[in-house]
Amino acid sequence: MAEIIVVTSGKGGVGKTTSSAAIGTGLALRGHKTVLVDFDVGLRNLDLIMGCERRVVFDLVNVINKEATLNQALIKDKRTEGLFILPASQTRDKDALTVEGVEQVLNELSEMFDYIVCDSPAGIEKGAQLALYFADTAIVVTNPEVSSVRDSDRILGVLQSKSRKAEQGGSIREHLLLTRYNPVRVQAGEMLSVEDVQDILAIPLLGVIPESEAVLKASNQGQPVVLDQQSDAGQAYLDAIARFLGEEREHRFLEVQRKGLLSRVFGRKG
Amino acid sequence: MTSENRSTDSPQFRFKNSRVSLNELILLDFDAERLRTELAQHAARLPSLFQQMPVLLNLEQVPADKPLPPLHDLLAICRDSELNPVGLRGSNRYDLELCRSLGLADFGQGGRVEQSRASSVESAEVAAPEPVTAVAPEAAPRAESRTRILTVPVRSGQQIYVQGGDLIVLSSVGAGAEVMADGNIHVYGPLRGRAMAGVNGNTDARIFCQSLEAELISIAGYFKASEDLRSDHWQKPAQAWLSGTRLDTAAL
Repeated sequence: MAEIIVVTSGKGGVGKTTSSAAIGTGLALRGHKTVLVDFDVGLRNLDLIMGCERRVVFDLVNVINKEATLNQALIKDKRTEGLFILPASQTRDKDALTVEGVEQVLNELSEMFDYIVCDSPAGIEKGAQLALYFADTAIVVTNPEVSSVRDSDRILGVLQSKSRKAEQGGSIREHLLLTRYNPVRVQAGEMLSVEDVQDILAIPLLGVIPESEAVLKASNQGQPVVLDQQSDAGQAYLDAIARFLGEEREHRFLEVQRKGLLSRVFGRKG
Repeated sequence: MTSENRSTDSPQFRFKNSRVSLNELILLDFDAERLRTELAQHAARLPSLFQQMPVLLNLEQVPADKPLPPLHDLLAICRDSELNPVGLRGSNRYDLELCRSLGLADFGQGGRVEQSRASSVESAEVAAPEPVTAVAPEAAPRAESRTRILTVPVRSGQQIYVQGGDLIVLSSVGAGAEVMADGNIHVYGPLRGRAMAGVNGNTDARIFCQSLEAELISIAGYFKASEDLRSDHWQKPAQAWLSGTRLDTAAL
């Protein structure tokens, strides 16, 4: 049986898809057979971030409607062993998803994989609810900014009340992933600190991903940022994945980096 | 193809349980002219409140020996004052058919439970021997505690209502969350959302919290918004209670 992980946030544009791609790839790099499922029907993005958009033939909705088999729709990642992508449909909308259909697809995937990473659409409506309904674990992606934190609080409430685990009287394991963290701006008081966010959301911190040029570059190249192991964001994601798998890792990139003598003399870019 | 299927198969409606808060217009007496002027004065002070605000007409406090106001007149006065009466409470003295024909819903006898409870408290204070008579059926459900204890944070968008009891939150109440109780509300963490105690009209209810950061607190309908709460107790342990019609806060 696979563990179903939903990557969710409530608010849009905080880095759900980037994080889904990074976490899925990271889990596969650690030797776990992993599938990334894009639930954002109508606004398909995960295939772009994973650089497999040209290989999409069938999608999640086709599989639900039995117009294709799961094996036909699954795309094998070329860079990472044991990683597959199940893309969303771009031409349909969220109404094409049904609880029964999603359950059947997840059951089938569950037989084949160790981890199923569901990339949730933004919002708290049907699409987002279906993405989280069957989850065992939730990774709540939040930016250090009040509106994002409030939306994450909202989605945590939805996780507690509208998931299958909750309906059965259990609860989903919740993790906080703080993305776009900029220690300089935190110090200047322009951004909420890790402590502020944790104080409001009160769930365990899985990782803090620094604001990084590497993320945008990776997205545009269609390559998950964890594969760029030189980058701070890539390393931060790898740390988060290690913590997810039960390892102890110290949080990095939380403090303002002191600039070295050379960079102070020669360049503004730290 | 799908859209055709949808238009033929999908139902036209669904029912959804929803809880809305409704203001009651509690009639204490009835003199058509005075009521009209008093409502007009009220409307002048709070114009934003009266824009076709739906209200429940509560007639339970009209003295029993007095005749009830003619329903047509009462409705006309309300509607002239930009109020939109949607139902009646304590309307058993009216003809049900008449209410129905005027499109008013019957909300039964809402305050009865409250009154008998208050009277039971009074009689307990006055006379030591237990009042066994009329209170007995009321006492049975009260024996089991209706207090609700929440150990997890109340998240933004969640609404918790405890009927006929207290609410105790051991964690935080997030911004955008709403906690309500007929009794007291205790929050052993930061209170950042809205808290409404004594929602059935219990003016003795109080609100206690570890850190007062609320968007709004209200007791028996009297409320203060965040702006008015930013006093010395802001972000400190505090309690709120009602002195007459004023909502007071104090450090704990």
